[in-house]
Amino acid sequence: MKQLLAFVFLLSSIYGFSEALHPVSITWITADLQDERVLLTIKVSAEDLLYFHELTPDSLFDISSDNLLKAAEEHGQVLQEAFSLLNQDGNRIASRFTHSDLSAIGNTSINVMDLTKTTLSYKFEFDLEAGIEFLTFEQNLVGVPAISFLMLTKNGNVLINQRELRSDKPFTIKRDALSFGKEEDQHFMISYFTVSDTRVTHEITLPLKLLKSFIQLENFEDLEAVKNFIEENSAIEVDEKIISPIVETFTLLNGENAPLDQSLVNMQIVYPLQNIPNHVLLRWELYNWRMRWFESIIDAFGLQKKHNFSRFQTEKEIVRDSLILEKN
Amino acid sequence: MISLILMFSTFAAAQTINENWPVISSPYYQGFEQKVSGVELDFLPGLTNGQVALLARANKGENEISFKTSLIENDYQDEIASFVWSTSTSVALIKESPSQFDFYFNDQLLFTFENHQDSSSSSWVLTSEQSTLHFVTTEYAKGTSDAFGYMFLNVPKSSLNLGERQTIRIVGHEQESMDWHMPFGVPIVSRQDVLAEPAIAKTTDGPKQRVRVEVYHAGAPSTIQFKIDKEFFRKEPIKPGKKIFYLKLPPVQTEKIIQLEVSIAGHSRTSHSVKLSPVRNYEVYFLPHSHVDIGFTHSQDDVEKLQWRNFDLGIELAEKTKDYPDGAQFKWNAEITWAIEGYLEQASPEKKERFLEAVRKGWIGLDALIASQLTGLQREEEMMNNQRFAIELSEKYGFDINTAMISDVPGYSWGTVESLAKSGVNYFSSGPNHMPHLPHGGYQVGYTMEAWGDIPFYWASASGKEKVLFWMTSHGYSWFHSWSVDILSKAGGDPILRHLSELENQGYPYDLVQLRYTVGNDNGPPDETMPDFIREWNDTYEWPKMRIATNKEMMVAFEERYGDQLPVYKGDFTPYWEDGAASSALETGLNRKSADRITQAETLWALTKSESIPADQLDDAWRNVLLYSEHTWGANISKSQPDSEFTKSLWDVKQAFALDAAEQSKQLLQSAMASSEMEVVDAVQVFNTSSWTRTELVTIPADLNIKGLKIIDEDGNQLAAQKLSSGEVVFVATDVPAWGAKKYFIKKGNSIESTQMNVEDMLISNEKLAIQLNPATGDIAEIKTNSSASNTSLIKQADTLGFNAYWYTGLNKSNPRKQNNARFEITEKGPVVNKIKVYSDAPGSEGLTREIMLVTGSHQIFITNTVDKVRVIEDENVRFSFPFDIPDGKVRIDIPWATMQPEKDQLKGANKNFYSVQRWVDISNENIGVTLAPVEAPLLEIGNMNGQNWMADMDVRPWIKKYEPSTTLFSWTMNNAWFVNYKAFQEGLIPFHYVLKTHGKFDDLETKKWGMALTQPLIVKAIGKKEAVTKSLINIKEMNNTVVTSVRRSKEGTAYIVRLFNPTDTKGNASFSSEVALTYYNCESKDRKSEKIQEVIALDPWEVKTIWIEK
Repeated sequence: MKQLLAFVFLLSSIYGFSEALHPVSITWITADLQDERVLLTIKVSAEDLLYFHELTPDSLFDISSDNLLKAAEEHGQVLQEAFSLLNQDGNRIASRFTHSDLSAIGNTSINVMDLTKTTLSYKFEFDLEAGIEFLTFEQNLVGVPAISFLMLTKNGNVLINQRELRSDKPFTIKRDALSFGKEEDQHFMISYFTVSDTRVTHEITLPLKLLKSFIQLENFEDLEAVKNFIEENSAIEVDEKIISPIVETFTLLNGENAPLDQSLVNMQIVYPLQNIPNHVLLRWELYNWRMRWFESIIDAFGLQKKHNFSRFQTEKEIVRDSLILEKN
Repeated sequence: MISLILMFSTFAAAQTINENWPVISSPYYQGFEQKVSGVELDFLPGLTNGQVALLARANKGENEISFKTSLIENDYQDEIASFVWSTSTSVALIKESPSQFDFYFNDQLLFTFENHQDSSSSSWVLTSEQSTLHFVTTEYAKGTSDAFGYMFLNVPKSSLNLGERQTIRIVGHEQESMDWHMPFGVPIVSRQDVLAEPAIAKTTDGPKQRVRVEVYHAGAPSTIQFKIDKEFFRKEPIKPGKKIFYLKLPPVQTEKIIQLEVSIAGHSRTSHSVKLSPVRNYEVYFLPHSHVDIGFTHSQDDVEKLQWRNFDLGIELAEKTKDYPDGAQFKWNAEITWAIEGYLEQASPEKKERFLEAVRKGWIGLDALIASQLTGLQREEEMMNNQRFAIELSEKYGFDINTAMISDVPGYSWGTVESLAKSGVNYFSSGPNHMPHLPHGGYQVGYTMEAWGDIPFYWASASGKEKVLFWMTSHGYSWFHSWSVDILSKAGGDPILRHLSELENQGYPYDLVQLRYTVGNDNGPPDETMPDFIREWNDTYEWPKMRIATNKEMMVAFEERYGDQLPVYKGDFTPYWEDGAASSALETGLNRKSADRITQAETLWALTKSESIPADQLDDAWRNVLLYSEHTWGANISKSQPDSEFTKSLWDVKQAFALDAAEQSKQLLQSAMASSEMEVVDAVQVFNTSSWTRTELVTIPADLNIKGLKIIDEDGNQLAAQKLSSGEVVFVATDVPAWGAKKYFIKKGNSIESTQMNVEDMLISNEKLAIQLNPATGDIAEIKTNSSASNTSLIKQADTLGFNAYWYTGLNKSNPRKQNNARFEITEKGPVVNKIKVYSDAPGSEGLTREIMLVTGSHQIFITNTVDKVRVIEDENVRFSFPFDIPDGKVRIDIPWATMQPEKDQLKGANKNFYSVQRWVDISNENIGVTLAPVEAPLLEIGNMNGQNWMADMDVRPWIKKYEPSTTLFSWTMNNAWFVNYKAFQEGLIPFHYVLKTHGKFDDLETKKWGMALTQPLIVKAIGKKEAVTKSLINIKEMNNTVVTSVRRSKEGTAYIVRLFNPTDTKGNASFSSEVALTYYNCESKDRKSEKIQEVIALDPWEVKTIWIEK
C-alpha cells in the first residue's frame, strides 16, 4: 500500500491567530478522497453553537443540554451550507449529510467556559461523477471570523495536514491525487482570485513541472527563490498603484514513490491593500507553450466572475463601484 | 528445436478472425504501462508528452521490443487475467510471406503472429492452451490497410508473477522485411472529449452550431445515447475504439451552457457541461509552400529541381482550379527567390512566360528573401543583399515584391527590419518549425513561438524610421507534415477547429488566422487535394472560412483590417540556430570575411573605376556568401551518418559556397585595385575605403620586391618598419584620408628604432599597454594600460577560468578541460610589432597555438588562437574565455544596423543563452572599457557557458529567460551537438582572431568605425615613385556621426548608390563633393532613385539612408 507524504511549507505565519481574543470559529476537517466520493468529517467545538445559533446561558453561564443538542442538530445544516466542494467549472458538488456524533454534549448542562472542550463531529458525502478532474474545498462560515484546518487523505492515507481554509482561501487538488504526475496532466492551472475590501488573494494550483517551466531553478527546493520569483512576477494594479504580492503559503503535494517532479503545487498569493480598492487590474503574465491560457474564477466583492487569462488578455479589470451596483 | 518448429507452425495457422471485446477478467489490466526496450517513437499523433510507441520490424537490428503491464496484486483472485493495449500493425508488404513476430509473456514464448494480408484478416485471435491473444482492428490508416486497434491477452493466473508488473516481449523474425508492429504506451480507458466547435455548418435545416464528441470506447460493442439538458437527442451503435459524433444545434447568439449526458449501454453515464459561444467569423489563411531546405532531404541540385517541379505543379493546380470559388483557387508561395533564378534561366520561353503570368495573376506569390537565412551570421551589407534577386525580378518584370517569409528558423537579427524595409518589403511572415509535443512547440525554437506566435506587430528598426508588419504563426510550417496532423484531406478540419477554439479561449483579437501549409516533409510539393478540401469546407460551413492565399494577399488583408490596432516594438529578436554554424568554424569565419571583402571591393570599384562594374562576378560572389548563411548546412543524417556519401556530398556543396566566395571576393578586390607592374617596388600607396581617416598597421605583401626598410611618407618623415618572419613588411600608416590614399616611399636602408617596444619571456609591451602571460597556462594574466582612468589589470584576477584560455567540454559544458603544458616563443620583435607564441596541448586537438601581438602606439591587442582540430564525433564544444574586470561594466553587442544591450534591447522571446555578434562586443563603465572583436566566431556567451543550458532538462528545455549581467565572456567557437543538419566533426588548422582594444568611455561611433576597419583593412598596392595615388571620383565633404557602409555603382554605371548609417544617439549628417556638380536623390528601395534631396543629408539617430548621387 502506498504511503503518501505531504510536504507542507508555510512561507509565512498564519495570521488568523492574532485575532484569538475575539470570537472566532475554528473547525477541523478531514476529507478522504475515494474513487467515487469524498467523505468529509468536520469537527467543531460546541462554542460555535453560541456563534451560529441563538443560545442564551443562565445566570451561572450554563447552557442546558437540550438547548445545546437542538442547536447542534441544526448546526449540521449550517456546516453543509458553509463547506462546499466545487468541480473544475466552479460548480458545487451536491453533498449528503450522513452522520453526526453529538455524544460529547451528554445529559447535563455545560458551562460556557467548557464549551471549547466539547467536540462535535459531522460527516458528509459528496458523490463524484465522471468528468470531475479537480476539487476545490471552500469554507464560507458567516457571522464570525472563521478558520478551518483541512486534513486531506486518499483512501485513509494522509496527503496533507493542517491546510488553512478561510472564506477567501479555498484549496484545490486534482481529483486523482495519486496520478497527478502523468505527463498529460501537467498543463493545467487552477486559479481563484478573491477581491475584497481588505485584500486580494490568488490561489493557484498547478503541477510543479509546469511551475518549473516558468521559473527555472537549479535547485527547486530553494523555496525562497520560488517565492521571490512569484512575488516579482505577479504584481497587480490597484487604483493605479502597483501592488506586489506576498506568497503566504506554498504547499507541495507528492506521493512517496513518485519523483519530486510529479508534485502538485498550491500557492496562496496575497496582495495587501492600504485602502478599500475601487479599480483593480488583476494580472498574470506567465504563459508558455504548455499553458497558453487558463480560466480563473474571480470572487469580486461577493460576485463571481470568470476570465480567461492568456497572452492576449493578461489583465482583468474589476471596478468595485459598478460591481456593488450590479450586486444590488 | 523440432518442438519449436511444430509450435511455430501451429501458432501461425491459428491466426483467425475475431471481432469482439475479449476481456475476461474484471477489471482488465493495462498491457503497456512502461517501456523496457526497443526503438521508441514519441512524436506520433495520439501520443501526449511522455508517452511512447515501440516499433518492431521483421528485420535484424530493430526487431525486438519489450514493455511492462500494470501491477498485478499479490492477492489476485481470478482464474484468468486480461491485459489490453493499443497497437498498430502494417499490412504485409509481401502477401505471400507476411512477417512473423514471436510473442513472449514473462519470458515464455506463447504465440507467433503475423502481419495481416488485407483488411479482411486484420482482426484475429490465437490460442495456446489457456491463453489467448487477440487483435481487434478499430480503424485503418487512410489510403492503406495498416491497422490500428487493441491487443488483448488473456492468461491463466499460473502464468502471472503476482505483486509485479508482467513483461511482454515481441520479437520480429529476421526476414529482412520492413513490415512493422507498433504497440502504444497509452492507457486504455473509456473517455470522451467534447468540443463545442467554433463553426457554423450549413444544413438543410439552416445553419447549425456543432458539438463534437470524441468517444474512446474501451468495451464491447454497444449503443451510445446522447441527452441534451435531459432531453433525448440521439442514439447510435458504438464499437470498441475511437468514434467521433457531431451533434448539430441551433447557433447561439450569446454564451449558453448546455448539459450533455452521454450513456453507453444504458449505463456508464457521463455528464458534460458544454459552453456554447457565439461563433466568430474566422477566416483561416493557408499559405501553401514547400519549406525550401537547400539540401537536408536531397542534394542541393535535386532540391532545385524539386522546387522547379513545385512551381510547375503549383501553376497546373492553379490553372485547374481557377474557376473554383474564391478562396479555393490554388496559390503557391515560392517562399524564397533562390530556385526562381535558376528556373527562369533554364525554362523554355513558353514556360518562363507561363511562370511570369502566374505571378501576375497572383497564382504564384513571390517573397523577397533569397533563402531562410541565419541572420545572426550576417554583416550589415550582406543582409541588405538577402533581397538582391527579388529587387532584380522587380526591376526586370515590374513585380512589386513587398513581402518576405522565413520558415523553420527561429529568431532574426534586428537589422533584418532595416534590410527588408530598405528593399521595399513591408510584411514579414515567420513560420518556425512546429513540433507540438516538444516543450516550446518546436525544435530549438526557444521562446519565439510562445512570445510571438499569433501576435502580429510592427517591428521597428533601431532608428524607428523603418518598420515591417511581423506575423509569426504559433503553428509553424511543419504542422501538416505526415508525422504530425497530416494533410487537410486526411486530417479533416478538426485540427483547425481545435486551433480556433484555443485561440478563442485565449481571447485572440483578430478574425484572420495565419497557417503555413507544407506537406509531406521539408521540400514538400503542393497538395493537389487541398483546393477540393477547401471548396468542400466552404460549401459545408458558413464559418470559419478557409482561404488558400499568398503571403501578400494575407498580409494586405490583415493590415487593412487591423493595421491601426497593432503595437510597434523595437529590439533584437536574438536568433536561436546560429550555434550550428560553429560546427564548421573555419568556413563560417571565411564567409564573414568574404562579405566584408565584397563590400570593400564594390566600394573600391565604385569610387575609383570609371569602367563598368563586374556585375556578374559580384552577383556570384554575393550569392555564394548568402547561400552559406542559409540555414541548411547539410544532410538530415549529418550527425548519425557523418561519413555517408549523402552527408559528404551535401557538405561539399555547402562548403564550396564559403570557399568560392572567399576566392571570388579576393579576386574582386584585386581587380578593383591592382599593383602597378614593376620589378622593384620603391613606393606603395595605402588606400582607405572607409568614410573616415584611419591610422593603422599595414602590410606590404612578401611577393612585392622591396629593397629596404626605410619607409618615408610624403612629408619626408621616416617611419618605423619591420620585416616579419613571413617575409611581409609592416608599418603604421597614419592619417590615411577617407576614400583616399597616401603614398609611402621605400628606400634601401634600415628602419628607425623604437625604445618603447619590448618583449621578453612572458611579457610584451608598447607605449600604451603591457601584457603579462601566465607562465603555467599561457593565458593572459594581466593587461596594464597607461590610462589614468584604469588602475586595474582589466582581468578578473581571482578567476580560475583564465583569460584567453581554451575550454573543451562535452555536451552542455560537461567534463570541462583546459589546455596545458604551455611553451613560449618570441616570434616577432622589432620597432613595429612584438609577438609571443604560446604552444599548448589541448583536448580535442593535435595542439593549440596562441599568438599575442602588440603594435607600436596602439591600444589594441591582436590575438590569434589556432586549433589543430582532430575529428571527434562525440558531442564536443570549444570556447575561449575572457573574464574581464570592468566594475559595473555594461555589455554592448554589435549587430547589423544597431548596437544591442542584452535584455534592454531584446524583444520578448529572444535568445539569451548565446548571442550573435557582428564584429565586436564591448564592456564599459563610465570611465573605462574594452572592446573585443571575435573576427571569425559569431557566438558569444555572457557569464557562463550557457549555450546548451537548455539541454539540462529536456522535459522543460529551460532557455534563459532573464539576462544576468556579467563581465565574463565566452567566445563559443566550435560545437557539433545538433542531431541533424550541421556537421558532426571538424578537423585541421582553424584560426580564431581576436582583437582587443582598451578605451575610456564608450563611444558608439568610434567603436562602429573600429569594428568595420578591422574587417575592411587599408589596401596596400605597389605604385610608381612618380605615379599619382588613386583618387576617388567623389569625395566626402563633411560627415558627422555618420559612416558610409557601402558605395555601389548603379547598374547603368552613371550613379553612385551610397549607404549612410548614423550609429549614434545624436543627429548626424553627410555631404559629398566632386570635380563636377552632384545631384542627390533618395534611393530608399529597389535600387531606384526617387525624389531629389538636399546636398546635406541629415540622419536621425540610428537612421540608415541610401542615396543616389549623379554627376
